[in-house]
Amino acid sequence: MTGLKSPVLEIKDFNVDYGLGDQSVQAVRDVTLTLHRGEVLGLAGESGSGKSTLAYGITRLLPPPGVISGGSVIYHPPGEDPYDVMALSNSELRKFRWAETSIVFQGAMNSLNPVHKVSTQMLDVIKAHEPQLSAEARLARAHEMLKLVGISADRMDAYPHQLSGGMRQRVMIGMALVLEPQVVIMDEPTTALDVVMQRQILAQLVELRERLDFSVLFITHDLSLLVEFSDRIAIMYGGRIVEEAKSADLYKDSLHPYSEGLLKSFPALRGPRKELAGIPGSPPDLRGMPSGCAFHPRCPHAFDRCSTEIPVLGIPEARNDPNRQVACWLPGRVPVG
Amino acid sequence: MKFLLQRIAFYLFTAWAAITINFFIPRLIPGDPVTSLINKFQGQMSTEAIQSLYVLFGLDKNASMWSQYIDYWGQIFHGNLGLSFTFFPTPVSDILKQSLPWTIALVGITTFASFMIGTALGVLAGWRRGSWLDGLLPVTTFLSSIPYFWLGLLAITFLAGTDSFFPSSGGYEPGLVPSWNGEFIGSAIQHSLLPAITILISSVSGWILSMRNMMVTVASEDYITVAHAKGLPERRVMVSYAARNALLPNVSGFALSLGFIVGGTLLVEIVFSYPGIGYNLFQAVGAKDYPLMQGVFLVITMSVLIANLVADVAYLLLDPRTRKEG
Repeated sequence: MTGLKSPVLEIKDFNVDYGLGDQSVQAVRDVTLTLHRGEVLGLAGESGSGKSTLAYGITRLLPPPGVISGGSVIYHPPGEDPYDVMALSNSELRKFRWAETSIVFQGAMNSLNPVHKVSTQMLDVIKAHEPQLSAEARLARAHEMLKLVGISADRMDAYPHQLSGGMRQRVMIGMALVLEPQVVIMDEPTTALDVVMQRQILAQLVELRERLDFSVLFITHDLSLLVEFSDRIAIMYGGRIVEEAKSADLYKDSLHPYSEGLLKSFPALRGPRKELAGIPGSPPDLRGMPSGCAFHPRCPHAFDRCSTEIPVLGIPEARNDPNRQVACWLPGRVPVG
Repeated sequence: MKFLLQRIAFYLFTAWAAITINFFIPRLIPGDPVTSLINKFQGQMSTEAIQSLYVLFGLDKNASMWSQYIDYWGQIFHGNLGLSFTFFPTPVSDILKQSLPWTIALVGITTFASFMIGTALGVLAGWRRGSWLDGLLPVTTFLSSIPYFWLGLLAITFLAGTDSFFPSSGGYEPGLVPSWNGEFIGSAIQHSLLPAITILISSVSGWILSMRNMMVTVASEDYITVAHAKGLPERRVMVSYAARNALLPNVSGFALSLGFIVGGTLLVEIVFSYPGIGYNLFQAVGAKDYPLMQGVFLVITMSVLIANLVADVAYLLLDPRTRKEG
């Protein structure tokens, strides 16, 4: 993405806790992230890093005991004044959901209601958001959308159990796009599918994005997927964003030792053979976060300061590039100013 | 369709087995109905009369078991269930014809009402977990754990009496002749209120509890989150997504309880001396009235089988996953 970037979704100082009082753990801490119009922003991290919690949080879908303990999510509708999603009333929130921001969830298998036909589930969302539309127009819209994702019209009357996993996820993607939202959040949309199906669905997604021009927040643990598919990548660790950069920059020249570790743990398709190395240790326990930088117990470069002070996300001194940010105390990566 | 035919074939087989067992059991019990009838008339019967009684009850010692069995089937198909001892010489089928509507009306309606009320409350309690509705659970569970006859006796002691609105026994005012007029129906409803309320109190909590638990389970399913994310109205998510799925186990439970309407009302009808089929059974057992017992058992067996068939059909309609393709 080049040229002038205008934000479509601005997440500011976002915090999510699980539980209240002394027992609570902080799953997402001070996350600030901006999704620009027309871009694919990848969000990567290990399981438990808070990436799905973030997705549920910004759409206010967190099941109890999840609590949003602070922050704002500013949505910029095209040609209108921006507003804070966190401040919407229940009925405003219902109108906002799916029409402006839709979600494709992790569980491809269980995202569809087993007792209703695919068509019923497509139509009820159109009916809820555009009640003025006639029944025929709704049906035509649903048909068109399913055709776009490669589901033939005669599968409209199928029940979810009659579809394969790949078809169900296509239906979900079609459903996510049926109201032409500005933002689509994809929470590991292809995790439950095999690699071939993954590719097909992602290719289709790229095509659909060019046609319908929506922005994507793509959440996955599969960094290799993001490197090729997204414009920018944010890496999450222990509930915080630790690095954010353009995909190519991150791939070639990652600054945070954790991103480096993630990149080293999958093989590149081209280029010279590289030694694969995992990240030693295991993700931090949210109930007993390490002091200072959450990554320091696993970090090969950790020094004294890492265990005492929490690094701030900022533009690194060594690369004077406004497009990248990192939270690390290593020399040259300390934020400017 | 094929599935349905298979089920029907299965139930026909079960019905055959049940009727056959029903035929054999009285014949395997030591002593026979004629002996007990002879005792009732205290030896004032001639030998010819005794022999004709044996023939009348289908217990002719000269006929083989097999021919008795064939005769038994023939009688069942003609609706002839023999003569009752207690109400001699009224045919059992006439007695059942009289008592069955009382049972079906009282217990049928209350079972249905209990299911509807319990399920609706369960949906709300499951959906608004942590609200005041949760307080309903211990109360109703407490009420349902009281043994039914005790609840009935308490109700009679405290609510019924000579000058009370609630009559303590019977299905209608003793002086009235059963007919479709306002006075009789009013009296029948007045008599049914107390048994109906006690049945409702003791059965509704089961429905509330099971529906609430299923709602809680279903509420954490992914498709419920998706339904919320779709911005659907709260009511639609609750009814069409959550309750619709949570209902499935309850429906089969309901169909099964329909089968127990006929059999399970024994206590109600005894406590309230209600002229239903359970009271018949009670009288039949007291008087060793084998033909009547057999008739009641037959009705109970048939109603359980029919209820099961209804459950299968209901499941077929409600859950697309049980339907076979093509």
